Amino acid sequence: MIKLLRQNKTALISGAVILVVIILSTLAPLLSKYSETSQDLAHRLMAPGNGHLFGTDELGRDVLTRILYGTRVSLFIALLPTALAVVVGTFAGVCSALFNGVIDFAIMRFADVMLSIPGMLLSMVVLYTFGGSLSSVVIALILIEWGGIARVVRTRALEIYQKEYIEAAIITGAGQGRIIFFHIIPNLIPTLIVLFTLNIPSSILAESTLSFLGIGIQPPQVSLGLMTGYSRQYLFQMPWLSLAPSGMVMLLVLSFNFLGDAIRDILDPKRRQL
Amino acid sequence: MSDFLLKISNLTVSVTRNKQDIPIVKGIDMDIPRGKIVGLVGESGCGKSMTAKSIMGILPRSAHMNGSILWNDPDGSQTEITGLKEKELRKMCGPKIGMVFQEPMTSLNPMMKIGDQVAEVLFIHKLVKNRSEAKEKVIRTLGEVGIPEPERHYNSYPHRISGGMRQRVMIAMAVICEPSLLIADEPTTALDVTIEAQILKLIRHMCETHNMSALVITHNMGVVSTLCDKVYVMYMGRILERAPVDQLFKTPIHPYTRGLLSSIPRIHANPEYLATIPGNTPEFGKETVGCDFCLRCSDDQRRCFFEKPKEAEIEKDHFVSCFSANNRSK
Amino acid sequence: MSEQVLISARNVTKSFPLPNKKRRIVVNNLSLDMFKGETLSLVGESGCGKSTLARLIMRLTSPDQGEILYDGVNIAGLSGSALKPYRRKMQMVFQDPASSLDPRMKVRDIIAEPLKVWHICNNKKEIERRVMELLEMVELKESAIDRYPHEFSGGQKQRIGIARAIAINPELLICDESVSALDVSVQAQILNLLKRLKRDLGLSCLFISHDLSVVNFISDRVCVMNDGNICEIADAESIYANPSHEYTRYLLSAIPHIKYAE
Repeated sequence: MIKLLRQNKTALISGAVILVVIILSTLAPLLSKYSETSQDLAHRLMAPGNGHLFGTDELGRDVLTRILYGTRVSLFIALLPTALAVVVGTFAGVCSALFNGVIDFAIMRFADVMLSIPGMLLSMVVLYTFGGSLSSVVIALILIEWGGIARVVRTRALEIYQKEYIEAAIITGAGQGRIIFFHIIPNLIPTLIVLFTLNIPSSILAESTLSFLGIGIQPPQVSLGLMTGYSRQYLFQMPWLSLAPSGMVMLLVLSFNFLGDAIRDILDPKRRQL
Repeated sequence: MSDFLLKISNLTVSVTRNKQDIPIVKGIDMDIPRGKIVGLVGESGCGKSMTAKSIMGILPRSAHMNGSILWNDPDGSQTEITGLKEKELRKMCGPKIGMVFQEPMTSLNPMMKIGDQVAEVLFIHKLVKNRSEAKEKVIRTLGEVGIPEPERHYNSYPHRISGGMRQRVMIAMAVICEPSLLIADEPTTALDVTIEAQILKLIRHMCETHNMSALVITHNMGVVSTLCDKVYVMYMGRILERAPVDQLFKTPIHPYTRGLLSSIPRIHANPEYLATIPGNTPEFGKETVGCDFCLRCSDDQRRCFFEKPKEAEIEKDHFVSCFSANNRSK
Repeated sequence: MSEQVLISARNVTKSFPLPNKKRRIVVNNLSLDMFKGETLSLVGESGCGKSTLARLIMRLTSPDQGEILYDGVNIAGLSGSALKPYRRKMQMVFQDPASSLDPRMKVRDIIAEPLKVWHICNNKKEIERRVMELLEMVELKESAIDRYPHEFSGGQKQRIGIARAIAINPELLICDESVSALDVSVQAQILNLLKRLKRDLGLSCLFISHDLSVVNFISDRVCVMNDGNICEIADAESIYANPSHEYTRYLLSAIPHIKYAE
């Protein structure tokens, strides 16, 4: 599959972009002489130039540095909750598919309920209950996402379960455990990769929105959404304060979307036909 | 030679995969006489379906075709099908050439009544003026293909009728415009043997009553023996042997044909083991210098590995591409 | 072929629910004996219940009523650990070569799976040796071991399926339309292979097919089914020479006959 990915230009470009962003944000301390919190009140709200590539914000902090650090947080928020949501969703979906009847019904209806609560409302409840920390945001995002993943996994798991090679495994004497871990899950992996990649953008956006509203990441930590929120008041006088972090969000969201689409296309079995 | 309906000359079809051109059909000649049923028999991967698709102009986008497919219309005109544009090809499909596929379930729209689907063909080719005329014609054709209570079944949906009935509906769709040629691609492969017998009978009946020719593509020798007048045996994109059907089965000459016929289990024979053709069919794209079959052939000579055999007439109307054929002729 | 009965189906009935709350009876109060060492074929058209009967015997599903006796023991109601020892004695070769092999597993792992489930070999080396042995028995090259199913042709995939089925030395091999999806020349090779393996390994074989000519070649006895019932059951020669049931005659007359020289 990696071979095919390399041939797909969209995947190549978006993959490269993501990689570059990850590297840059990880190396943030090395790349910038400023820290994300060092204030320079004498040089507040400066336009790009003069040692500040993207200017400074209302407390004199270097915007570029804050973007790099902020991207770290946003990426962490994107990758960890999505990964955990995939794990939870897969567990729920597989259980639902394999244990028919009451358990299936219960899990699916619970997922439906979670899906029908607006994401923001759900997050706000979690955050007000547990306080606005990083871990609360993570939990909130997992709760929002696991339902959709569980549904897709359940459908796919049911499809796989009907295949003859599962019957063959049963006849061989394999137990449920073996069938789940050696047959069903390996065949779910393509689906899971696509789900993971395509859910990341929503995580990024969700975190951005929450932080923008002030109920996500709290200062002194910095995230892209937080930066966008604070810069709202300066939108017309100093647009770069909003454009820079929003632009980064957009870049990440687009890249992950394109990458996810490309992976899904590659894994589509119809492509394998002549 | 104006008693042919369709004449294929040096047809080649290749498919582009991973930027490589893979030849599937490697230069075949075929002619379909008026009013006769021609069989194209071969195993999976030999290129027979691609040949049928070339005639109908429904090759996949990655495929390229070369050669000539000459249509000799009953009204006297001749058309080179390979030169036709999309629009003109569509005018041929239906009125002049009808096609029946293997899987009736997937070839029929599950959301439309079967009567409406058959009627659609008439409307597309503007052969009727209004709905009632169409309905009348459809009901008549449904009856002709052996669907009981055609007025009632006009309103049935595909999933409510049996596989055999669905195939009859496909045949109705193919013949309703009174085409001169019917192409049937594995028409009975998905059907039970008793239904198969009925469908084969139906195809022959339709051809006789409508003075239609047919090209039947199959891997089943029994179908060929029952239905066809003339047979072409295809292997790896080439025609190895062609003959009138009785001759092919009485005196098969090419080692592949002989191998194929002896691997078929027979009811009143009781061998310990079946005679098989050793080895496997090679994959696409592996072009050899010599005969395509020589590696699996029991009659191979040294010559077979370096030269491709040319077609020779061994008996009357019985053509074979094989260097060893001369030893076989009686 | 001995006179000992290996499998007995006694008054077995199986039905499936229909959308309109009725039930469709697929196997109808059927009784059948199968002897050790024989090849018994179940022949009939689609929907006659032959595949369902095979799956009942394999205990992939359980009958609504009736008994399935394996060596005298009723396995119809067994499940879980009580059923497991019987799983070892019966194996199946499926119809569709493509979907009966896990596409994400290498050939080695596919064939080794039964060995691992039943802890037959002690270490990796022994497993490898046994897998190689099985590949040789089904006439596949050693290099197949590291490849994936999609790299093989239909006939080769079916050989892999057969290797998997015989890996743990079952007593009964069920072939569910195992050659129906194959080309004629490949079909002949696989039929020969099955016949040879059956003889060499002393297997009993339940062969399901809709093709009477294939069934004639490979069977000792033939059981003709229609609509969930047995129409006729007799040794292969008699069925073809003197079919007594109307449906058998009907089936035989429908086969497209090849007009050979003889």
